[in-house]
Amino acid sequence: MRRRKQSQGRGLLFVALLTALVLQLWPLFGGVALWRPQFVLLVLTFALIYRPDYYGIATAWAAGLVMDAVTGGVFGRYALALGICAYLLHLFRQRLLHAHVWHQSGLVFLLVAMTQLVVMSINTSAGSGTSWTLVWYPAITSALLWPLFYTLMMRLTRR
Amino acid sequence: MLGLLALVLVFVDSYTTWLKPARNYLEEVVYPLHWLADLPGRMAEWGEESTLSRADLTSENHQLKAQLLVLRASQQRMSGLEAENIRLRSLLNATEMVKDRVQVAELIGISPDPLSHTFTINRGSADDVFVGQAVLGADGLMGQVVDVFSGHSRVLLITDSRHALPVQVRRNGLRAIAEGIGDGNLKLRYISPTMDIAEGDLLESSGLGDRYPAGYPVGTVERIEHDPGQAFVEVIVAPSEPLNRRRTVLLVFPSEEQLGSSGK
Repeated sequence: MRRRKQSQGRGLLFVALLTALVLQLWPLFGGVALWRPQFVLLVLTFALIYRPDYYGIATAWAAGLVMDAVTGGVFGRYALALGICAYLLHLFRQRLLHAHVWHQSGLVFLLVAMTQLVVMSINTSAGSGTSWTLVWYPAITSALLWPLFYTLMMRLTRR
Repeated sequence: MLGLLALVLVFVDSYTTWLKPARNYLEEVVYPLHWLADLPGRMAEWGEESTLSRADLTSENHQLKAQLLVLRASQQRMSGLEAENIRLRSLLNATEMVKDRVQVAELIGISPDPLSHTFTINRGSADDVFVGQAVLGADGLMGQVVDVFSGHSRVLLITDSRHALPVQVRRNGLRAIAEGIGDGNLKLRYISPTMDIAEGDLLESSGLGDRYPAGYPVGTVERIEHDPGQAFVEVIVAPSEPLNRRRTVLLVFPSEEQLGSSGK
């Protein structure tokens, strides 16, 4: 019984990850696109803190590779960035497990900003123009979205 | 360990083309994601279409018929002009302008990265799309194809900061290079203050560089800034095609003669 429940949680997170990828690709035009939260990183953060038995650095790395494929830039940049995030989450998991939601939200802010930094610096080295203030927009929206996302995922996985 | 592998991937992909087959394969695999993300938009469009009232459709139909009449009238004049143009060109011993064949494609996804101005269209190598092919909208040039997969391809817009194209001013034939600056506009390079260019000038593709067909509108000069300390003036160009809302685009197939003469 318990096993079945666990595999349900696993499937749910997989679906959440796919949904996040679709949301990441959702066609947004103009200025709104700058504020798009890093949905994939939100799901990965949740999975790595609360379901570390199924989701590890390798999952984050693979998700990053898929992100690279769908965004069509230099290969491996999201894999690298999300891999680093997953490693940090893995290191501080015990502390984060019992942290307050807004505390976690601050961490999400830092993780997204770091992901943006890594991805953008690789983009720049590949010759694409960058405006560094853009690092903050997705970080802000992702951090604000985290409590909502956290509550939703907790409801869904605890059932 | 995986981080190291990712770093290796980044370097290999930046400096070599070894990863091309693997990338192509992965892009094919993740294509359904694009399709899925575009689904709600298409559903909304479909819903809008199927709930239109008869009166609306009739009035739209009338409007379109009137528009068609106007266009046909101007087409008559155009064909006269075209014939005259060909005669004059043959007198000048210049090469003939040829009509380009086009194919309609649909936009199915735009780049999730706001800094890279690319989008995905629903035609690929199965429809003979090739890398470097020009993509047009109804009002002007949009960009060129950069990646081709079996059923879809990726288009780099002229406003992307990695893109530059040769243009000329339609009024006087002044040639320049227009490069994207990443915020939705273009910038002309190396324009000295004495050159004859003014705000509101229409720029068209000049056809130099063998990439884009000549004579398609690219944009209008929006602003000219001259800093006396600089050798060149800054010319900002707004693209004539609204690059971020059109859902249907045209792919240009150059005709056989053009292909032969450019040695492709």
